[in-house]
Amino acid sequence: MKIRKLISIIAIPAFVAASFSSCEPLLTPDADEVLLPEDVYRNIDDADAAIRGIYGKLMDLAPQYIVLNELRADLMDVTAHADLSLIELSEHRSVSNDNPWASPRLFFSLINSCNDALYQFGQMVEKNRISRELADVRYSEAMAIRCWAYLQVSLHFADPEKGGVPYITEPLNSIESLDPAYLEKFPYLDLPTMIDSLLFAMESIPYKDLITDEGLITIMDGYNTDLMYIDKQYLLGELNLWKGNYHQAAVYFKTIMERGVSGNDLYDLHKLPFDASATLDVTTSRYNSGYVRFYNNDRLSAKNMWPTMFYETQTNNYHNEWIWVLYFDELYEPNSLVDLFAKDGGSYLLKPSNLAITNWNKQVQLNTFAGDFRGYYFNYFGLPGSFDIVDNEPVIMKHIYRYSQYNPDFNPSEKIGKWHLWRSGSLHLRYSEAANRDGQHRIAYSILNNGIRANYPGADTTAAANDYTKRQQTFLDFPYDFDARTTGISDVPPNLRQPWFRNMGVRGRVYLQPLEVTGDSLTVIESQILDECALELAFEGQRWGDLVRMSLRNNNPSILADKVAEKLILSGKDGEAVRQKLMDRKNWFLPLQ
Amino acid sequence: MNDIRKILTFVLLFAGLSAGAQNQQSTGIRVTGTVLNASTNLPVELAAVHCSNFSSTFTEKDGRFSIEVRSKNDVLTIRASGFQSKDVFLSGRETVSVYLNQEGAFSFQEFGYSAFSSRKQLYETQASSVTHPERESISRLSPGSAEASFDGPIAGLEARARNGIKGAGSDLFIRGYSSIYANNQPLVLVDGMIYDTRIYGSSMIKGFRPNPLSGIDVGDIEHVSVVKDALPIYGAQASNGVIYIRTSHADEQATSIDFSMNGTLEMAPDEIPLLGAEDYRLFLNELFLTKGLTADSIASMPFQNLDPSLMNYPAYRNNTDWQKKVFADNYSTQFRLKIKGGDDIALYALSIGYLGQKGTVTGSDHSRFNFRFNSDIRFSQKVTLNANISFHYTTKNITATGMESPYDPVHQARIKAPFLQEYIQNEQGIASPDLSDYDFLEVSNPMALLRYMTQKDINYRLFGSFNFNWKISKNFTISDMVGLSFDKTRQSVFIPDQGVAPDSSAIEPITNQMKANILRHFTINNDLRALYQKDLGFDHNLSLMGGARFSINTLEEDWAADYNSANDQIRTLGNGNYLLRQKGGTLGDWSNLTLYLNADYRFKNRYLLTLSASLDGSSRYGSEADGVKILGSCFGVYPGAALAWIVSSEPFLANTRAIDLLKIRFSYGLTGNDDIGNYTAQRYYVEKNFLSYQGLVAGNLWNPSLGAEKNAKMNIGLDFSAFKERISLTFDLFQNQTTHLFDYITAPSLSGYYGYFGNMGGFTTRGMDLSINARVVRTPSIQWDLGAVVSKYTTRVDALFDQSRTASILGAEILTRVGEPIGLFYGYETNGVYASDQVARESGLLNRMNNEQTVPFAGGDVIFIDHHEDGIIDEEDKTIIGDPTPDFTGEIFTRLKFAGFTLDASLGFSYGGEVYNYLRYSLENMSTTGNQTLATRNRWKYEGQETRMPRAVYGDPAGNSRFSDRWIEDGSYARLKNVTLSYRLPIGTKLVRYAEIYASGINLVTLTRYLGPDPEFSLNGFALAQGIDAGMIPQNKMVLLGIRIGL
Repeated sequence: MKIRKLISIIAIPAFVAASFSSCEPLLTPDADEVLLPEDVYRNIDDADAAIRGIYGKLMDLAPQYIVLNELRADLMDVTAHADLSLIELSEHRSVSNDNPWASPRLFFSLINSCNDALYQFGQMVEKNRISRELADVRYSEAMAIRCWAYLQVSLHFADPEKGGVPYITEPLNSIESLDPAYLEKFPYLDLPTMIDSLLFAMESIPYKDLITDEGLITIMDGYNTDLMYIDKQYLLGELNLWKGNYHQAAVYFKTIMERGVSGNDLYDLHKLPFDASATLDVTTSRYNSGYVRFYNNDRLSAKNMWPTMFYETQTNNYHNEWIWVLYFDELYEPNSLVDLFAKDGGSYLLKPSNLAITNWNKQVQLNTFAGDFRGYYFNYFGLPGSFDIVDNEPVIMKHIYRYSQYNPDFNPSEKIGKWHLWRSGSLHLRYSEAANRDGQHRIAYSILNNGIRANYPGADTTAAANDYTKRQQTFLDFPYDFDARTTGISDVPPNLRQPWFRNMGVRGRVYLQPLEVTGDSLTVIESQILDECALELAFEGQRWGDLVRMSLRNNNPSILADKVAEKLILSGKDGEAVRQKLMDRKNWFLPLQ
Repeated sequence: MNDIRKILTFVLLFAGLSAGAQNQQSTGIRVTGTVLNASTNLPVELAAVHCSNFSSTFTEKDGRFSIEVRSKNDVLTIRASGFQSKDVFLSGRETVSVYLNQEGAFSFQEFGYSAFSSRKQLYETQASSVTHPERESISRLSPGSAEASFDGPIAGLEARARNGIKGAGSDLFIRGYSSIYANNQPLVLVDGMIYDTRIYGSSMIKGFRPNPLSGIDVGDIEHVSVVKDALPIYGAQASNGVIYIRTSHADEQATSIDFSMNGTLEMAPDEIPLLGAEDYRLFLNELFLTKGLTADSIASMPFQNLDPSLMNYPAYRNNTDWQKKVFADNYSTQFRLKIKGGDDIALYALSIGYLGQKGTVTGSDHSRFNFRFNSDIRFSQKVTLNANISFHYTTKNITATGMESPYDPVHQARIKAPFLQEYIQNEQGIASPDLSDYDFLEVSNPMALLRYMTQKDINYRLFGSFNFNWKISKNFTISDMVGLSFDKTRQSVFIPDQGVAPDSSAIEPITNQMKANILRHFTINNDLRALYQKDLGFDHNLSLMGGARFSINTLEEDWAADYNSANDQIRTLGNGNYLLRQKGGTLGDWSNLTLYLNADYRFKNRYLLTLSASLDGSSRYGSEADGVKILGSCFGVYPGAALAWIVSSEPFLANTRAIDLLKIRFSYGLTGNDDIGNYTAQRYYVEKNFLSYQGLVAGNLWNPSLGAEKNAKMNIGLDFSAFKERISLTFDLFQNQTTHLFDYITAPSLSGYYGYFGNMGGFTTRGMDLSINARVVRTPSIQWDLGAVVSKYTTRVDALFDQSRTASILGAEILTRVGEPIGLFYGYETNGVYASDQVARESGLLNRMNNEQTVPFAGGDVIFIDHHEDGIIDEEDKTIIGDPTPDFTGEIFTRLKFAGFTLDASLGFSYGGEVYNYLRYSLENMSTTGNQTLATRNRWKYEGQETRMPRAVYGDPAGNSRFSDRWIEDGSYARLKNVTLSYRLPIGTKLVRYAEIYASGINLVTLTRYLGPDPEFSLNGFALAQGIDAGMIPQNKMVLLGIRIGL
């Protein structure tokens, strides 16, 4: 008995410290350095932290996204500084096991974070930790990012045996989830099937509008966050376009185009407006390139405002153009795009392909000058274009304008920059593509070339010249309803400014002649759109998807194969072999490993 | 809670029940014998003879005694002043002759101390070795950290000196490695409490590792026991063996004062032979030509200026021996004061010491203040307390580590152009007192680094424990030890702009640097145990111990680095460029709880059995780790057993007078390694920033079954002693098998993770230890002892999740492959140099370049062996080119005593280990503009030249200096580690008990074919980084003079 008492006296204090409470395991890590699962997803702030974590991971993808989508396609090429890992992608060689660019790991890491958040948001609502409304916004956000990531993974990767990529929709948290028996429930989907699944998932999200939530829409380090979040309607438009739901795609894209409801927004927001002031002032240029007023035939009067959209931030012009853009700040992770592209301060690994440069150089402007403001167009008033010539070598500038001599505040130690994803230029080209497929060739043509107003002189040619009731409108239902009228005091109706009067088309904005359509409108315009995408969206990470989408839709692998082959041939590489290789759809995909 | 209590109750009740009073009745069995002095064969008078606590007597004048014993198989213990006590097994004999040896000689009759108990080595069932540094040899009292006290005489323990920085200490390896990626250092217990020797945090000083053992003064160490086979009672902390350190305790009440001081001359290390000014100029010329510069542009470089009338001519016409400038002879001093004494209530031992060491690199030093107060207090007959408190404070100024860096003066001195010198010179070549800036080759001025750079490391540790013992009955004791350890390290670094080559960063060139860190580690320990000891009749001895030990650890590290302050006078954090500023830290919490049981049983004093087991739980283990679940936590199970048979006490051998001891031991037990990271086995979230906003994402692929590595140790041993203990020998064969290897296992990419931590794979270490001690001459006036230890081990990887992999360390590829030893060097084999382009062409071999192109070799290129036989030299041709594990290591030590003089010497050796000489690689690759070794004078220069040194080519496009057997050398060496001559002055008054003067030479002679500065080094304690010489500061020769006085 005595012993028993003694034990109690000594033993109890000895173990109290080790086991603070009886319901906890005896030895629990008191984690200060990391957060244990019970420390996260407790309230709305944690939910926002999850969204920010997802976007933080998304940012890590920027270089790989651009490299996969551009270097594998026809507009970007390697420089002499590039190593084997980049050469393998550019020349469509079989990739080495350790090629970091050919690993889908970062995409799946992002997907896994989305899956974790999606699951946990559901749990939070169940446990009454946040309201259904707040959860819906965040749930939809995570779902949209996941769908975007899956679209990218499916575009570039496929399992060599099973084909396609696994559509994992639950978080993989522990090694138990690596058990093949567990993973079996996630099917391998090829690109078209994946698009079906993504479209279904996106159409089912509860919140498709822009985020207005105070917790997420704020100013971070001086950057407005409103353009940082994915535009779910845009993604839905894209997915519908991939799927072949052209009308639905047009609906989503047109909805974005019509977001401006008052003031200048009504005419300018996502409508590719013309430069109403026609001065040399960048701030009012609406990114129109051309020549100083009345000096249209003077080469030295060229003013290239279009590239400033990649340089500027937070201006009116900028908000009218951009839909999705993310920022690299000097205080955080280094901007890896500088390393890829810059000659000074970077490693200059990638450059425009000879094919891309040729494409631009053969464009004809309204004044019959050759060349494209969007390629490299030397001028005194604006920026050079998508690329610049430094020491006789072409340097891709789109991603590094902030980190270049063109920035008056340029500080070589501040690696600032932006990751450009979606903007009005791409929006109009996508819409044009959908409309063309939906039978609206004229609308597609107008948006692509020189705008609605120029292409709809009037349905009733017998009407009086000042009667605009029948002119400059499409007289079609949404999403093809355009009214581009602008009338004077003496016109009928008088003093009218309709939302689309400033629209001047993708090519019109950069002073290019409208294209001629001879032959089958559908196929000719579609091919013109694909070519225009190369001119307008080069290096922005859209190209591979565009080539794949067009090739799949037309069931014609040569659309993709020819372009890539041409790039290689123009750089003196064996393009023919690559053309043969890419004629087999299986070879479009990197092995999922 | 309940389960633990149940276990304890069970143990205690069992102990309590078997406690019974012992009857002391006369047996009528008497034994007679003689006690003799082993060295003189003269009888020993008044030696105490005991038979347990049954009977006792003293010897007569003629050494004879007669004593009643309990049985003819009983044990007699004989004690006499000045002699080692001796246990004698009767083994049926009625008459015995006992030879007593003088104290100080090796004997199995010596006591070995473990955490809380002691017993004679004779009764040891495990593979353990004992050394008494304080008593045995003052030669081991050389300035240095604690491991100096057991470096050498213990077979199977290799204390590999890290480098020659003062206080840097050694990496300790007991029988090789137990782990590839986790801790490989043995568990150290100081006076029963775990003394954490692991190095936490990240050093701000490149190439420097703190050494926790340097806080313990060798002079405070009374006793060291090293257990090399399994000690399951330490569970998952004992996979690398256990070292018990016992510090000075008073064992008599009389006051004694010991004072000692010594001074050491630290001798600068030998220089590496490098090119002189003219040779270097030629080399540079050749190199620039291969860089694509024209002869004209090279000729116009200032160093090529041949016209004395031109400006700056003298500035490039020096011949400076830069190594001589950074190394210098220096002095160290040490003082120690020890006071022991007490009364019948309390005994105390106080020691205070100061050590001030100066390193051989100019400006470097290491100083230590240490304090220790150990007391043994008797509150009553039943309650006693041992209190052990120690504190040390060390500061180190590390001016250089020798590692490759623009901030390391020693490295810069090795590559600096000899035609320059350290001061700014005017046009006439007259030097100003101002140090020059970095040179046109971007090499820093080593003297500027020595003068303006600060690299300081300050450490203190308070380490104390209170051990309460409550003797409940004659056989039963309950004890509880409460202890704490508080360790704090502070480092501050300033690297100046002046004279230093700027480093590049992603943002802007780095001029000056300011760095600091603080690391605090706080541990609370509690060890509660019950001990039951009983002789159940004279044939059975039983000792049972059960206990629970827990420790709670908190660790915090904070560091910051700031760069580019306005000038070198602004040295505080926060004044640099905000874009470059970095800060970080670590927070660690972990706790362990180990429940342990140990039973020692001795039957007929011949058959010994030890059974032990522990349940070891840690906050680090995953929720589904191997083991049993107690209160929601996983506890690993570690059982073990050891058997020994004292053959010599069997009746058939007892009368063999030649053999004193013949014992055969066998042990098998499980241990583990819990060094798996604090949170690795938890599912956790980590921060992921989105601009300045903090986001949270899942941080790992959770492996809930992650637990400790397992290590099964098996040992077969033999202890033998003969000819009145003149020769003693211990031989052990062992096998340590690591399973559940802690490893980072690659995950499929669709998980989004690179991998996860798991327990997969393992390896086996097999080897043997031999230790021989002989008293060659044993006369009253001259005693000569000679001893040697030899040990050997080999490893073999049994399993790996990926079968084979290589790790890259300083350009070396280290192979880990199933079926092969650990840590192999994997690279190209070479066979000289192509004498001409034609010979190279005729070989038909092509060289695969980095961009996958293949180009032919040229004259002056290294001939690589095409193992893959495809005509192309590439990855496929790599092969095993070296094994850093020595074939055997050991030490020979001797002591000669005559007429007040004592001569000690020890010679350490290592044979057969191969070394990757990275330093030579960096000074002999001839692809950069740094200075090169003298050997590069033989480089290939013209068609047809037969040489083994390839051509000098800038950037080395042909890969001549790639990792190949060119850089692998034989690292065998024998080193006279210590020679000490001491003389005890013939004064023995009441005031002065003794006075002794001594002189030591340390590291005086090293025999080796190794070309680097020092064949003994350790880059770090990990198995994969062995045998890599990164050019660390070599250990230096020392001459020490000292005096000891006892009052």
